[in-house]
Amino acid sequence: MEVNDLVIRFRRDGGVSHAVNSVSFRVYEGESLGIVGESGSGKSVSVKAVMKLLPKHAKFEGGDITFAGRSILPLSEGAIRHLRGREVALIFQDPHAYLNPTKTIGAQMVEPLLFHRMATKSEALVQAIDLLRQVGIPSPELRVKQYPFEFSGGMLQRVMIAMALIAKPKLLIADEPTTALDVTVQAQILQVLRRLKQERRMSLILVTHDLVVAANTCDRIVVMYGGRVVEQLPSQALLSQSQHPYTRGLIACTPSVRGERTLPTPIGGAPLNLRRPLPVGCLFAERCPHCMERCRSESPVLKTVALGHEVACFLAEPQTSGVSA
Amino acid sequence: MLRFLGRRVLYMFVAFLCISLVTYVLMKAAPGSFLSMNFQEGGVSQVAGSYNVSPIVMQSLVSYYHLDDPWYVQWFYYVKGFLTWHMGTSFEYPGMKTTHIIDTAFPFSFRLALMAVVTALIVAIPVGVITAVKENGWADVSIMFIAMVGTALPSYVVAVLLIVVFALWLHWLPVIGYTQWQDYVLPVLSLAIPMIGSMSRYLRNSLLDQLHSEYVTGVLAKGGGMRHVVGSHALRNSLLPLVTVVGPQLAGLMMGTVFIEEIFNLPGLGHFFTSAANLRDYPLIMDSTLLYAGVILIMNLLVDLTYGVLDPRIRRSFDMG
Repeated sequence: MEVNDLVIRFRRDGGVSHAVNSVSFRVYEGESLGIVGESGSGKSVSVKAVMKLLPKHAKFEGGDITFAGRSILPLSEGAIRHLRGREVALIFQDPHAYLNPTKTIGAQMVEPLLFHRMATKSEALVQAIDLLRQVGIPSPELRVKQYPFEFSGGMLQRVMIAMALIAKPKLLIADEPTTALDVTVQAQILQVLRRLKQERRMSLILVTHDLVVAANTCDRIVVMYGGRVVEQLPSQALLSQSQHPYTRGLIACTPSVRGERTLPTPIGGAPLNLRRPLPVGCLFAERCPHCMERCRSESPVLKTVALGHEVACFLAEPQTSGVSA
Repeated sequence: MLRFLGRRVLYMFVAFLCISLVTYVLMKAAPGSFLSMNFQEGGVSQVAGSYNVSPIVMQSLVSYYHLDDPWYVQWFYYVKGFLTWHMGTSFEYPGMKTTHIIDTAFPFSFRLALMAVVTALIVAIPVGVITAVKENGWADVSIMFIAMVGTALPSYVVAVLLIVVFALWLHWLPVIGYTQWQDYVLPVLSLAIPMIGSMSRYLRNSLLDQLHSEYVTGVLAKGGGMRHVVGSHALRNSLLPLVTVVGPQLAGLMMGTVFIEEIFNLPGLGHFFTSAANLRDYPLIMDSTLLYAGVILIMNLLVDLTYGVLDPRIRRSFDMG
C-alpha cells in the first residue's frame, strides 16, 4: 500500500483545519510500519483516510492512495466496502466506543464474514470462537454470548484484534491500539499483534504516540509532525541514527528504566495549531533548537540519508556508516 | 428478574395508593357536590326528586356511600371498591354501575388508541430512518418541515380537515358510527397524524445520535453499508428514547380523547370522565382516576421491561436488583 502527497483538510464552523499536509508513506507486503507523532500530528487521520472512513466535512485536497496497485480515492462507496474488513482491517483506540453496546461480541465478530458473504452465520461463529482462543481469551464459547460491557479494556482490545483478523485481511491498521490500556496489558496486546502478524504474513500499520512501542513492534518507523512526515527510518536505526530534531526530541523525552535516573527532557513550545494558516517554511521551526534563517522561509523536503532513511531537515547529512545513498 | 418484578409491583401499589389519596382530597376540596351542581343547573330530574325522598331512603344512601364516616374511611372504601371491582353506582347515570361504564367504554378507547399508535409508528419509523440517513439533505429538510406542521396541528383540527376532505368532498368515508372498519379510519388518522410528526422527529434525532457515535465507524470498517449500520445496529439502539415517549402517550390515549370522541360521536371513556368531573360524580371520578393511574403504572412497567429487551446493560441491572 502506498500513500502519496496526501492532503486532507477539515472544514468546520467556517474555519479550516489543516490535518494532513502532504504525507507519503508505503507499506510492503508482510512489513510492519510504525507511524509516530504527538496528538494532532495527523497520524490517525492519515490511516483512517486509507479506508475513506473520515467524517463528511473532511476533504481530500490532493494526493493519492493506492492499495495493491489500485487507486482508492476514486473508488465508489460500494467498491471501497469490498476492501474494508476483507483486505484492510482496522483496530481503534477505544474498543468500548467502537463496539455496539447492545449486541453480543459473537454477533459483532462475525460481521466481516457476513458482510462479505464469506461464511454462514454458524460457520462464522465457529471461526470467531477459534480466533478468540488464539488471541488469548479464556472460555471463548461463553464469551461470544456476552456483551462489550462485560469485558475489560484489554480483553475487549483482544476481541477487536480477533474481529479485525476474521476475514484474513492483507493489511491490518492499528490506530493507537494500546493507548487506553494499562502498561502491562499494553505489552500483552502488542505481543498478540506481533505474533499474529508473523503467523499470517500480513502487513501492519501501527499508529502510536509511543516511540518505544513503535520501535519494538515495527520494522520501519515514520515520524509525523504537523501533518507532515519529518523522518522515515528502519527501527534499528532509530536510537543511533535518527537525525531530525523532532525525532531526537521524542527520544530524549522518553523515560528510560535502565541507566541513569535522569528526568526526560520535554520538547519546548506547543504543538502546531493546525486551525491557523500553515506557517511558511519548516513546520517544526518554532520549537526547533537548531532553527536557522532558512527554516523560516523554505520548507525542507525529505532527502535520503541512508538506505530506507529519509529526513526532512536542512541539517540532515548522509550517513557515513552503512550503505550510503 | 423476579425480584425486580416483585419490587416494581410493590412500588406500583404504593404509588397507586398515593394517587388515589391525592385525587380523593382534591375531589372533595372542589366546591359543590353532585346535588348542588345539578340544583344550580336544574338538571337530572331523578336527582332533584331525591330531595323529597323519605329519611329512611336518604339514610340508607348515606350509609351506602359512607357519607357519615370520616374522610379516610370513605377513601378506603373507594380504593377497596376499585381493587375488588365493586365500585358502586354512578351519580349521573343512576342504576348504571361504574364498572359497567368502564367495561363498555374502555375496550373501545383501548382499541382506538392502539390503532392510532400502531399507525403512527408504521409511518414514523421509516420517515425517521430516511430523514436521519439523509441528514440535512433536501428530503430530510422538507420532510421535517411537514412533520413540524403536523405536530403543531391539534388532533381536532386534523379531524375537521379530514372530515371536510374525505367525507364532505370525496364521500369516501363515513363520519359517524363505530360498527364497521371504515368508521375507524378518520378517527385513527386524526389521532395518528399529530403523533407521526412528533414521533418521526423524535426517532430522527435519536437515530442521528446513534449514527454519530463511533461504533458506526466500526461497522463501516468491517465492510458494512448504511443498511447494516441502521438495520442491525443503530435503529434498535435508537428505539429506547422512542419507547419512553410512546408508552405514556398510548396510556393517555387509552383513557379516551374527548375531542375526537365528540367530533365522531364515539362511545369512548373521555366523554364519561370529563362530564363526571364537571358534575362531581364522585364514584366515577375516583374510578376513572384510579383506572388512569393503573394504566399509566402498568404502561411504565411495560416500558421498563422493553428497555430490558432492547438494552442488555439494563437487563443485567434488573438481576442485580
